[in-house]
Amino acid sequence: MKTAMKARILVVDDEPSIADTLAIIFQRAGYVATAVYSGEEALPFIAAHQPSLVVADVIMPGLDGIALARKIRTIYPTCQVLLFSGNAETQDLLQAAQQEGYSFEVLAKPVPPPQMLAKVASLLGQDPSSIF
Amino acid sequence: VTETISKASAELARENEALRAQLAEAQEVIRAIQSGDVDAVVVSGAQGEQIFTLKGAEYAYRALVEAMNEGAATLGEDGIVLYCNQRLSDLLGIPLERIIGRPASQLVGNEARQQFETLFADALSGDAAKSELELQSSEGRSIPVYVSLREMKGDDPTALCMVLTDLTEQKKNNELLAAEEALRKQAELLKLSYDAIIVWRLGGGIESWNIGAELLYGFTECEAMGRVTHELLKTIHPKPWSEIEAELFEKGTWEGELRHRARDGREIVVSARKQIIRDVNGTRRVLETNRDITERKRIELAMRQSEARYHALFGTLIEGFCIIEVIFDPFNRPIDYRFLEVNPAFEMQTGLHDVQGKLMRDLAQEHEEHWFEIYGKVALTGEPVRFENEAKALDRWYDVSAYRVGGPESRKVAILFNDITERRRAEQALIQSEKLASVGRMASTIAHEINNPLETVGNAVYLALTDPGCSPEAKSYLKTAVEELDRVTHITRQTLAFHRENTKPTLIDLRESIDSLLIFYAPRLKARGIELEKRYAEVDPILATGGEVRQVISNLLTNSMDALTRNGKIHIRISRSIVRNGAQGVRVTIADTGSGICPESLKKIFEPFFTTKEVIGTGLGLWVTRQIVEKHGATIRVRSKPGKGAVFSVAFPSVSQGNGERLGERG
Repeated sequence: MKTAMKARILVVDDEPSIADTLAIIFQRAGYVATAVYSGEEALPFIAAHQPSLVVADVIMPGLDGIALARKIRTIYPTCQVLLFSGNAETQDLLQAAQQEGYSFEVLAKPVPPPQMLAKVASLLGQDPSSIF
Repeated sequence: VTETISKASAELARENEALRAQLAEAQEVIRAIQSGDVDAVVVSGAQGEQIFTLKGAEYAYRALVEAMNEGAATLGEDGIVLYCNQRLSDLLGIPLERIIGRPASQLVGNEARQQFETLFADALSGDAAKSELELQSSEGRSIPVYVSLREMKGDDPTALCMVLTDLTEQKKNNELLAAEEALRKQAELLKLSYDAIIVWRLGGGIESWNIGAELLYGFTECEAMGRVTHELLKTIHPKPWSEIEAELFEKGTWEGELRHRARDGREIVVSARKQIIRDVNGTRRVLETNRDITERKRIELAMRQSEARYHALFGTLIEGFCIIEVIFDPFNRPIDYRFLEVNPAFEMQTGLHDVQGKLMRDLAQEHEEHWFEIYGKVALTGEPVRFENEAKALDRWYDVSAYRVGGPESRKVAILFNDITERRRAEQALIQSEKLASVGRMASTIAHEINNPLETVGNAVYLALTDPGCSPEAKSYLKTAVEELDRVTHITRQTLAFHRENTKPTLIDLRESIDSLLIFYAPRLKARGIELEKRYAEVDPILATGGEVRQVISNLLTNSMDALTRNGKIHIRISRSIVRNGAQGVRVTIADTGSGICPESLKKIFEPFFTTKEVIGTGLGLWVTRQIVEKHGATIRVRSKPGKGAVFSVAFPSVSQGNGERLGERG
């Protein structure tokens, strides 16, 4: 991987232990990864650093993962979003978003790290910004 | 005087001559009209002379008018008959001469006169007027006719055409038809009846003998036809036949009880109803409807002979009722009871037949001890009881009231009971499903709570494992940790996968779903030496959630594999099927030659946390399977015997190909 082309990933999870470990896993895989612990923190970071991908938990206090993902879609259309969740309520939130025309991919926690890395690699490989 | 007389007679003679001439003239006119020889008729009336033209071209019509079967007449504006045909004259029985020149309203009966005037007025005003009314014949007989009055266009002065259709025959025919139809319907109904229905001619033999009669008396139709009823059935009447006959003639019906002898000599008591029927020709027959009341009579007699107040309950009750005699051992402990009497509902309520005089222990060896104790107590103390309890031997639940009959020495207990099995089962099912739902909710809450820590642990273990400084020994421990984590993940996922996956169903070809799974399971099947046999029929797709369907198949397949020792066999079959409401469906059957399931387990396999795989089982596989199956409107069935393998089959409703295109494959 070329250093100059390093993709930037933002990890958002209200459980720091998850956000931190995942960020380190991404870093070890050669990405530039940062962890934040809420949806509210994520927005200014995205504005400042324009990451290629945001990996976010769905159920979070305050701004939840789906609301965050919708904001990103509207404000930063080139930024990819991958959601992951350990909760069945996720389904209701997703359905609500779907009715308004949004559809997001949600991985089920626990996501084994090799699977997470494979998913991220495939997403970044199909970065819409590189196509258009 | 002589002169006066001769003058008067001369005048009379002249008058007579004039009348004769007039008559001859009229007859000539009529003949001429009838033959079509004249073209115009001049009639002197109140309004002067009226001329009616009969054009030569109308000759054909005149001939027709004379030939037709309807009465026809022409009326002047004032209602005077100007002309009428022979048929009308015949109909009224009045000569033509006396009809022509008379007001038409005089031909009509008094009651219908007003009606005729109205019709006439309508016709004059230009409307076609039609109605049924009655004419008055010469002998004063009324003749029902259909009258049509219509203005004749183009005639001046105004004239009306009147056509009368004689309804006498038609009316009679209609009445006859209706009567015959009613008889025919009655006869058909009678044939179907369970009651004995017999028709016999007064002073003659039997003419109709229905199935009910055959069943009741044992004589076939052939044997009964033509015989005299009283002789055939050796009827015993409650009073002399002459009295019955008199009543029958007077009122047309007679009802009462009769005693008959059946073909085999049995005495039968019937509640009889006799009715006189007359046919078109006036022949009188008796229609006899006999209902068998032999049994009722017997019960009535039995009731009179025994304790009437308890027996009043008999027969009419839907509840089971019986009187038992409790049998005690020398220490006054109840050991058995004998049925003294039971009501008709008893059999239906218990499923026990011919119990009268028999002992309960002989009828149902497994009958619980508590039944004997309760009835024993009632017999000894005389205290009535009411309770609900199960009779396992009968596989039923009962709501029971029991009270003692007679004094303490009688040891007789009357029992009134109701089969409440269905209600109990419904209650139990409700409790069960409520329990399942709450267990399900709890399981999913717990699993969710576990997922987040699992994610962290998984990440941490992965980091440790991929750390360059990790020793080979530490790596092997961490690999074990990863495997164990996978196992925990598998368990939570098994409980939750169907909550979590995209719930939007898509069209799925079960053959493809199963084949994709089999690729995954192939190595394991091979390793265990399990032979797999597939038989797929051409089937329609189903509308389902892919992951869930795979989970169902995967759960059933893993169970089969776990049930098999080496060299077992698994059959997978996909076939067309009919599901609920008769709709088309697809059935997946997974059968194995494994250890099978014992009947006790079979009842519980779909409950959560029930497992026979002590170490590796979660007890959730089939529970989840059933939840998914029900969610898809599908049904799951299992058949198994210990040592004979197990057959699970799931039937999904399918989507016919035509619909499939409309629903699309997206989602």
